[in-house]
Amino acid sequence: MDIAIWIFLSSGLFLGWSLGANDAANVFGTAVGSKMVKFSTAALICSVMVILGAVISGAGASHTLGALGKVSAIGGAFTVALSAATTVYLMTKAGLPVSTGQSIVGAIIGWNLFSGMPTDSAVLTKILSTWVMCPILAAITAVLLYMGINKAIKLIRPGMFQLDNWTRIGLILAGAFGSYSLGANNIANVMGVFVTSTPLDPIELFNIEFSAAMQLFFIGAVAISVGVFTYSKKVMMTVGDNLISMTPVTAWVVVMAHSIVLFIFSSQSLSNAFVDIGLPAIPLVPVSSSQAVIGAVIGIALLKRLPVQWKVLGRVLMGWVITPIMSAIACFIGLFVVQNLFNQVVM
Amino acid sequence: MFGFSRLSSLLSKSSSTETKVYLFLDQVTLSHHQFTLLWKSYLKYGADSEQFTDALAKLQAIEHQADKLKREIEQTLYRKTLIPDLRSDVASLIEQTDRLINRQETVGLHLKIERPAIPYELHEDVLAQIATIADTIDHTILCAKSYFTDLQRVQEYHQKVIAFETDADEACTRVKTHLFNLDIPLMQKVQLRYFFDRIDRVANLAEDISDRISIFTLKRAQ
Repeated sequence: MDIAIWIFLSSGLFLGWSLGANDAANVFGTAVGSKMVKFSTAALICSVMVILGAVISGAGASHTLGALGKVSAIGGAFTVALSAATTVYLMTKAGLPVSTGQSIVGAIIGWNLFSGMPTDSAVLTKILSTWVMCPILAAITAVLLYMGINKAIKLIRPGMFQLDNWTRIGLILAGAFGSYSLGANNIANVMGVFVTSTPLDPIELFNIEFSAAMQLFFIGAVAISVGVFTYSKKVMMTVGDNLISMTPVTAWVVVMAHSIVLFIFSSQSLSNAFVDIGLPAIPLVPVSSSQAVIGAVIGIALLKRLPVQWKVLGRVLMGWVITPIMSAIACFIGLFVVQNLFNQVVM
Repeated sequence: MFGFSRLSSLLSKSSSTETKVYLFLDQVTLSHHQFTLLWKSYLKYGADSEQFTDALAKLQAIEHQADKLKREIEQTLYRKTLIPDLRSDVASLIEQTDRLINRQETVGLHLKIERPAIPYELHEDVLAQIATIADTIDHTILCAKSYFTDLQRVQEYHQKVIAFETDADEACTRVKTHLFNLDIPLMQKVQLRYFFDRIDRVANLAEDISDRISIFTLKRAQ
């Protein structure tokens, strides 16, 4: 592969790294933070499942991003990913849990504005509506799961050690499912903008053809894994008790609700099944893993009438509004610099 | 196979802790059995007898084993296993239960050091007091085991512990009343009262443990 491609892809890889560093905590944070699961075990499972999810089911959500803005030149894709990554990095530094998805959408709109391409308002509305739907759906899923699991525990009456074992297995399975969904749904944020402009050719391995997009997704997923291994431990250790204090069973419910929602918004076959039975298709959009977790946590807090730290939540919501705006501005300026200072083709 | 062995070791952690907890609780039963034998041999053969020395040595060995298990359980509890919100309750339960064994061992040691002369008229009362304590301890252990296996039975055993502890109090009062009615020097009476009170404190501690388990259960059932 040409070295220039790696240079251009570097911004996407950086974005992937920061996604791995931050979002793995949503999947395995409580399990590792509470020492129910070892970090190395969690990181190994997370990495493998993120790669599988990205390569097998990554395409669905990536098409929606492609429809929002067809970033036609690799120089432009580089700048879009870099501005999104920088925004995520700066917001994380400021202590706000931000969404890579919101950042990349903002950056794509920045590219549209710079290149004079129209932003498809229908696609944008679809994406924006999922940002609202995602936490609400996560909250509803979490409430239903929580009620179900509590009923099951009361009915089966497991002993303490049995419950401990089940919770451990549950956290591992939910973490694996969550990692798969994270890879499937969020790989579009990391590599989606490169799909149109990539100069990669399809390759065939063991009689299976890997398209250019699949190769990109694999590379992006490896970057996510590196993020998981190098930086996520720190985030995992601090996650969990920020909004409400959680028991491992509650943590399991939160991770499952998060994973189900991410899976819903990335599964092409589930969407097809919906259409087959006469229901509207599910919008396949990269949604924020952090938003899903926060939605699930709030759902349980409301159900159990637990005090929610509304001030913290307010800061989180503020981050969700600022992120796309900041990213769009950063991308617009970035494209100007890359085009005029570095003489690169950006559109 | 690296991944598989890692996963299976992860899942076996809580079962190994479970085994250790049950082994630990068994030590309490063994210790009280030994405590009863210790008193029987003291009353029958005296502090210099082989039987008494042997019983005390066995009681100390049990205390040693329980301490070792307690440390192992506490370490694994905090290092890796067991549902985090229950860790401190389990650790506190183990810690308290260990004190039951320690108290019995201490009484045994003081018997060896002080060699109190116990009048024959009191022997039956002393053994009756020890027997009611055995019942209290047995039901406390059942209560503890239910906390790990079947929460519904905890209250049932807790009520029994309360009843047996009342019996133990009555047994203690009876032996002390009998003691102070005897025609022996006051100094000897005071020394013996100290022993009977020490025995009674074992039952009190057992009831305290059972009370705590009952509270832990209410917390878990919420």
